[in-house]
Amino acid sequence: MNDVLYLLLTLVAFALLAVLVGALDRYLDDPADRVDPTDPADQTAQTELATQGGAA
Amino acid sequence: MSTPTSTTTPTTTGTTGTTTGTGSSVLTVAQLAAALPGALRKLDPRELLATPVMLVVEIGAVATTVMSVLDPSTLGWLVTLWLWLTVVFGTLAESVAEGRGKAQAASLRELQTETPARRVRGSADQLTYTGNLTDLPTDEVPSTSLHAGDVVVVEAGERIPGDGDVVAGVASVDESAVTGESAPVIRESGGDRSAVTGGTVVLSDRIVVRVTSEPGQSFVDRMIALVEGSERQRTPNEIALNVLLSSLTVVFVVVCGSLYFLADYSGAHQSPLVLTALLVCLIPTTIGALLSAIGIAGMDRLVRRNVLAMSGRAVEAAGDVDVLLLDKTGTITYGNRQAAELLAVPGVTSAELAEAALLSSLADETPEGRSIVTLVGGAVATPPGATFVAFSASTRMSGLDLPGRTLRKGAGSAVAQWVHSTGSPAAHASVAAIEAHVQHVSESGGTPLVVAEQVGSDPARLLGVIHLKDVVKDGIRERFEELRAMGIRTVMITGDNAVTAAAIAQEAGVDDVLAEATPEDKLALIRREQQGGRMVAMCGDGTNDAPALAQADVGVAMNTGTTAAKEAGNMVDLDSDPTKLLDVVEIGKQLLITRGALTTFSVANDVAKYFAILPAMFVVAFPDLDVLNVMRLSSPESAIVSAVVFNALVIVALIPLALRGVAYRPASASALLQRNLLVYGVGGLIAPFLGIKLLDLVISHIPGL
Amino acid sequence: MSEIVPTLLQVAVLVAALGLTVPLLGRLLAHAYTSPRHLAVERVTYRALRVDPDADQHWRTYAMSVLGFSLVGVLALFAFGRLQEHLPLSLGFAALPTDGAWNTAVSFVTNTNWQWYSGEAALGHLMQMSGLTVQNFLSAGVGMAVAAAFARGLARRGGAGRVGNFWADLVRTVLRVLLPIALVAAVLLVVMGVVQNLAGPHLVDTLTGGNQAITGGPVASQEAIKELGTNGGGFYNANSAHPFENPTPMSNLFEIFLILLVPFAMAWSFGLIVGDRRQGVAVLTVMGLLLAVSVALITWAEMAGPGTAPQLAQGALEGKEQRFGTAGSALFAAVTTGTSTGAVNTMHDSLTAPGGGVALFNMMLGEIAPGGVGSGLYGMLMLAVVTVFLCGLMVGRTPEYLGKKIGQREIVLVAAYVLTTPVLVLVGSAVALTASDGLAGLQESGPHGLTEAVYAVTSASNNNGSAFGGLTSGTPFWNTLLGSCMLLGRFLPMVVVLALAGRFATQPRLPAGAGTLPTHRPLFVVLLSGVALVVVGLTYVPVLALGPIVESLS
Repeated sequence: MNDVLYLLLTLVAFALLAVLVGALDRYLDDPADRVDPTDPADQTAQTELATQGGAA
Repeated sequence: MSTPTSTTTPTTTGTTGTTTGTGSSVLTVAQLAAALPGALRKLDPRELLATPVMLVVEIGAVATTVMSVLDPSTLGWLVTLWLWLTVVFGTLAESVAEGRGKAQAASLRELQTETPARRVRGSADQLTYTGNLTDLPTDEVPSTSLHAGDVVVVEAGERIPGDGDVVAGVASVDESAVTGESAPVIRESGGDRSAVTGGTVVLSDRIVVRVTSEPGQSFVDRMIALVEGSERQRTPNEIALNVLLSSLTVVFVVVCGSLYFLADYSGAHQSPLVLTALLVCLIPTTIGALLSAIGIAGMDRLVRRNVLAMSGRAVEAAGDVDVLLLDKTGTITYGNRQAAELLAVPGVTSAELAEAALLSSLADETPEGRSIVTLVGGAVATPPGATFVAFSASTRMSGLDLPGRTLRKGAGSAVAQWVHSTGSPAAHASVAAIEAHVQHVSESGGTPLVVAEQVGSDPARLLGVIHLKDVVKDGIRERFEELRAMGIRTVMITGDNAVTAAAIAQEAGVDDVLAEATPEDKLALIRREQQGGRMVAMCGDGTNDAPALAQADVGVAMNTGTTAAKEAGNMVDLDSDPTKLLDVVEIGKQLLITRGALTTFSVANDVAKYFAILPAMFVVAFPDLDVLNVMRLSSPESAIVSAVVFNALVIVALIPLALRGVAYRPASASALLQRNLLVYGVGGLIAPFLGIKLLDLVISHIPGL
Repeated sequence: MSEIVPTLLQVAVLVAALGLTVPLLGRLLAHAYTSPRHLAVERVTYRALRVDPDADQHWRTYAMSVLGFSLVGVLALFAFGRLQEHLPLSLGFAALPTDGAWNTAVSFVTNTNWQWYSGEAALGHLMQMSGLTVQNFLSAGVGMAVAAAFARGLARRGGAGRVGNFWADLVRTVLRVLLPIALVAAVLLVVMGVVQNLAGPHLVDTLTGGNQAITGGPVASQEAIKELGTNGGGFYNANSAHPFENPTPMSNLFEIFLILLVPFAMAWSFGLIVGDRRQGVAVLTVMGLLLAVSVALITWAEMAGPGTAPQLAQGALEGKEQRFGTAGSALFAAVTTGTSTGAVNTMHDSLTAPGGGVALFNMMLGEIAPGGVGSGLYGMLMLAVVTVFLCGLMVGRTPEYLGKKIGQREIVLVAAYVLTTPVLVLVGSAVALTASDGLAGLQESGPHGLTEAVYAVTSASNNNGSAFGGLTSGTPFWNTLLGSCMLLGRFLPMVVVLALAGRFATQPRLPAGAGTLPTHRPLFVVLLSGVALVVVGLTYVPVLALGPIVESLS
């Protein structure tokens, strides 16, 4: 019985770590964070996009 | 070779008046008082959400208030009072920073008052393609109802109803309300001087303007939003720093929280009140409170130099710039060339040449013409019967017609052609001499002007060459050396040929040069630099600069420039001074340095606070810990209150610094770091020891502590 | 006073030996982590494991490989522990209790090697060798692989998040580096008198007429990798204080050398991987500087030991082995806590209060001076990023490290890394010192008891594994608490490090100019050391004040 408990503890811990990996992956290339090129308040948006286009 | 141009840019110096006199950077009591209501409004926790550090302080203040109500004590009320003050000081800093922009915004708002506008009646097609818009009928409409694409007619004495481009006519316009420059500027259709700003006043003549902005999105609207800080978006570095400060806050929350239990184990129970006081002292409140004020003040510093950044991001990017693209004319050299010497052909005396040069330039009002007059000894009275022949693009010459004598000066090929047309042989000895002089002048980076004379109806003869020199601005070389020390490379952009460009580049001390540059060349150069991971800044005014301005990481458009250029860049310089780019870079760096310096100061302060509070907390349970009380504070209660008070007061003390920015001198990274570490790191270690000790001397006299 | 000459001498010998070997091993490591070619024996391994060693993994895949591999390790060791009595070579030992088996499994897979049991009285040879010794290699290899991935992330430009291949890194680390060196080291240890056999307990009659079971076993082989991989799990309970594990001052010095070899060499190889040796040297210098200070402090504390008895004995000798002397013990204590080894040749519970405080502080630094194999390097690099961020702002540019910009996302990851261990340590300590089950394990009360508990939690959270002694940790409460700390303290930071590696790999590498903060100059070395000390100091001063500091002052 106790064995199952610790096995579960291990599995849950690693599962959560795996979830963290997925979450960080999404966080690191979250398109919403990129500058919105249609936002008139941020003129550099176009510049940045152009930069990326130019660098590609 | 280029000919002297007859239209010249009205050059203004960097020190022309600021828009509104939000004068000195010294903080006045009046300023603080004016900012107080705004500061109190910002106490709303939702507002504080953006700065977690201050939110934690506010939560702490609420908690100690509750504790003091339930269990009143002098210590409790003092801590509570000063925790609230800490929060208020933080919001006050932001409010003061915003307040400085408010006055300016108010004067700009006056430009927005509704004015009647005369809109040209016609279909969209008509308005776009019809040539003579002035002949179409007009309707009177309120300026607020104008949309992009509408065309309006504005006459002398009227206010331009909206941003737009002049599509017909020439007028002098008073733009002082926007730029602070009192001299009127010329706005004309076509070319690079066609943009007009809504709210400015036409002084003479009549122009037809095609409106380019929608209501509420005009240049003045954007300016108002910027100077008020209402549209302020936090910049990448600010956000990153905020993350770091928040994580420090979390660490200290855990430290203080766990300390409650560890202290209980050690038999030295700590009240939540004292732990809250400790927490507030430890978390980086100094920088947390001043962070947004620093950002607003940075924008404000730009505005004071008459530069409008369209986003804070651009200001920060300016600090990161690696390469500066500088137009030769106006930035590196004075916009106009000046006569430096006269080179006569054999058989012509210097005096003869000088006289001819003087006469031909007497009526020439271009700076080049005036400089020739100055060179040969000053103006003389115009001979009777003289007719001035103005420069024209087709003849590429100017001069003076006297009875029986004709004088011409201009580009070598144009003058040679004229001389030849009067019957002079093409293979004359003077032609070879002139060519030699012309080549010599070009190679040294100058512009040759050839002078010729025709007496009666004889064939004209060549007299000599005037050497017009591009004069490199005073002190620009030193400025470039500073930039080099900062790790910034300068590239001079010029339409001159490679030989001329190289000569000027060497004189000015730039690192690189792009000669015979076309707009495409500029764009390609920027892309190349960016691919190498470097950030590029440039300034420009023409429509053909727009792609490069948009591509550059920092693009400063001249206010005199076209609407397209202004839209493409992320900053606008109201003075239209290309040298401003250097200031912009410095302000960007100063902004980052101020944040870094205050963060270091804030963290360094914690050391002294530990020495004040830890012995105070545990000296009852462990008398041995009294040796850590190096400041010899009078009592545990006084020590805690002194630390909290110091923590709050240091915010107020640093508001002026946050608004002004730390002193910045261009230097290499290592030198800057050493200096700032010494001042703000070491200073931050020592200052609180002195401050807390002094406060303790006063606070220990409070009865009940 | 007579000890001063040998003290300095042993440090000189150590520095000289490291000076000769670290650059060589650094080059070997850099080659292993960058060469596209496989050895024949490696190819066989890859085929057996059914992995493609040439696949350039995205950091996400790399991290999942690390986690998956480690999960299997934990489960296998847990099974070994629980089924010990049914396995061969068990020497008749019974199964470990559930919480103990779990704690041990986690402990060895996380390179912590915290031991709640007495090795010689609880574990059979199979468990010791196939379970623990194998994990000694593998857990060290995992740490080094992650550090290599991080270095590659910094070295690459526009790598689309790809950081290398975990399996290739792991196999190469073990086959090219750890196994050969451990083999040579084991032989040398045997020559120096360390035991190596597969026999059962040997019964001897004692002088007093009783009899005693002397357990021999494959000690030298485990000892070699125990030090080399900064594992620290001893064959015997007494660890490196046991004469079979560490018989002479000579073997003592050799073990210290083994502990320091790989962590320093990793820093060297880092410089080579990123293509600028000076960067590696700078990191190595900071590690060396911090270690030197702690060696000096502990040696001073132990030699000048307060109290009458230590003064008479010219040093605090309680809990120390006479054959190593104060200096040999102090050096070992500083090195084992400065790295995440946790092997001990002296009882840290008996160190003087300031000496024990420094040992504790060493671990609180986050195991960076020079730290565990691999983990020391990435831990130090994380602090380097923090330093660059703070100082980079002060030179007026968006901070960058090795041409990689430190923006919001990067700083979020670094903040998560820096937060993890302090939160584990402080929350864990608070729980341990509040719960009655936790308090029950403490031997002493007052400040020393606090130090015992904090030391245990710190040791587990930082994957050090050294025990302060005095704490009875073989209870379900302590086993579970410390096991959780070890697990989270190992893999949370690793995931964050790999994410940052991927992030850096994606970025272009910006050219350095006069405007960028140089990260190889002495100024940066001083700053990085300062940031390490200040950040850690500010976090732990209150705890230290209630433990070692108040103890030292009384």
